[in-house]
Amino acid sequence: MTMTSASSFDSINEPTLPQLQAIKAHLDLILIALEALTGLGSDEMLSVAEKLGLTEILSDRITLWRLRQASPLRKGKGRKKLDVDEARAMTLISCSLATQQQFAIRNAVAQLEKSTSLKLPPHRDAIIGDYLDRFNSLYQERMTEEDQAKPDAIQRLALKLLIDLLFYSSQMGSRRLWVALFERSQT
Amino acid sequence: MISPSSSSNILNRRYELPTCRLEIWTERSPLSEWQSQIVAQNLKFKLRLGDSLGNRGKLIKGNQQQISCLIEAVTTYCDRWLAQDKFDSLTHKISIPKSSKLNLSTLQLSTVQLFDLYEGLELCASEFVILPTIVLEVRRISPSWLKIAASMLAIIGVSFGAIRLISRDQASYQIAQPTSVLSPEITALSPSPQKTESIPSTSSQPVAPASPKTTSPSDDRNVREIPSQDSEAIAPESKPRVRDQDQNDITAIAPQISQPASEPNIVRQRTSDNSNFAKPPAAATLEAPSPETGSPSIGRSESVPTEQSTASKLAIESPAMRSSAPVNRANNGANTDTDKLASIKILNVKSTLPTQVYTDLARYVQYQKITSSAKGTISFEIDLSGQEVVKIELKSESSTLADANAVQTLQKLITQWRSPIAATGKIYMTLQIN
Repeated sequence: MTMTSASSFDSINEPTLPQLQAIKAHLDLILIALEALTGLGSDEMLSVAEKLGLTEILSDRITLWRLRQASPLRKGKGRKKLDVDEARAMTLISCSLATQQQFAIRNAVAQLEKSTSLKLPPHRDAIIGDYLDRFNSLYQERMTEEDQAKPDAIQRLALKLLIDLLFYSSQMGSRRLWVALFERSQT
Repeated sequence: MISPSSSSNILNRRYELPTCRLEIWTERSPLSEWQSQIVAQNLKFKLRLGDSLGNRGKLIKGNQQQISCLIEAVTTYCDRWLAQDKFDSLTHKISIPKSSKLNLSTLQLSTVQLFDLYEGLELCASEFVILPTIVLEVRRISPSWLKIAASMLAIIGVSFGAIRLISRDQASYQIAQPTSVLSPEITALSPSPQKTESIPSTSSQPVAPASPKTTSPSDDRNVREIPSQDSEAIAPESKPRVRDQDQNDITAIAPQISQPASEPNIVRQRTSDNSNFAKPPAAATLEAPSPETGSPSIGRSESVPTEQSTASKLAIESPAMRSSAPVNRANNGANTDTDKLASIKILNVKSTLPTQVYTDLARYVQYQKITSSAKGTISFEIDLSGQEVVKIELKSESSTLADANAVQTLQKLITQWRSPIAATGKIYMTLQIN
């Protein structure tokens, strides 16, 4: 995993509050998408954190859970703060995992393109179908009642995140995710 | 591996991804000395976009300007796409500005193709600095201080012209004058020859005049901060370059300047030629902009009115000198004034060691100052162990340089080099000594 995008982090200013909300939500969703597609869990996330030298920020399940729980979409009370270093750590971890799983992600996107070009509903494909089911369960299990969007919306969200994962699985993925986090919060 | 072509070193890279194959050929700009990446010059590319089934699709060929537009268009599109929460379609239409000549004005790609293309372009961009070609727009000078600066320049230019007329017979005085037109900094530094062999003392000469033309971002900033007389000076000289298909103007000028040994000669030559040195800049640089639309501004992608170019063509050479100085103030260390000073050119480097190692050695060797009574080639076989050269052997079968002292000096210099990273292996290097 390259750390070449480290320099681009410094060039972006500290996020404002609304930006942080959007960032927190997206970071958590990216991880949910990864979990749904590949079955990766907190063990793998912690192991990557250690490999990247991020144990000061994130070293155990509780902390990981807390960081993900910071997403405004999640149910439950408790600390909803996420500082920039933590966001950065989550970015690096997500992209590292995505890079590891690039083959699976790419394959899934290729299947999705094939189904779409044949004008078939995405869930008809085995891989995409499984992914969508798992994403749906995780989403409903973890997100608040108000954010229980309609199934169609959740499906579209899941597919968008799948494609995002493809782009983040690149060597330059963490730069792209970081930039996307900040651009997203502008809109 | 750096391998020579007929007149320049052309680097070749191929980035292969499942649905995208990007191949580039580029020269290494002298500006690369000041960057950690290689600065591309005269880049050409060939891009083939296929599909996941392996069908060969579109072939797109282009130059540096076009790949620069392509990179920008793709990066912007993707970053924007990733920032959205929703998507409408899995097919992506990307419009690429300034590429209507090729079949490139709009690219239609699937998501996977887009990903591969983005990947290929980013890999290329991470290895090379690819600057768009400068195209300038000439605009009216609005701030009055620019007009004042322009008139100051006229006065200076005319005074120098007058002084030259007065002191035509005094050769030494004539030498001094143009150097101060060149830059105050050069005049100040030239009396004290550089003793240490630091990199800035030698290669900066070729770099300095080249820099306004190739305009790296840092040069752009320098240029903007410099009083306008220099920015004006740069612009007219860049315009003909833009008009030309290749950069013949620049290559014509640069080699003259790039030989440190002859640099004082150039200055004398100019003086004695009574050529377009002090006078035309005053005339051409100022008159070209002012009657028409005023001072040019430095911008990146603006179009040039072609009528401007003739008058400003005269200004090519001296403004190049003049404007370069403030930009590279520290680097105009005097090259020594001995005529025996030889220039070292790397003809060939071969090694199985990491690129970083042998490019560092190549760079180091290029900037060594040696004297040589002869011209020729030298081939060395260098054994590296750790960070030190443990053995260096002259390959006499491929060496033609008759001066044994020069060979010995070079060998000694190479053994003094330390590799940036520890590695063990051989480096084969062929040099041209002139």
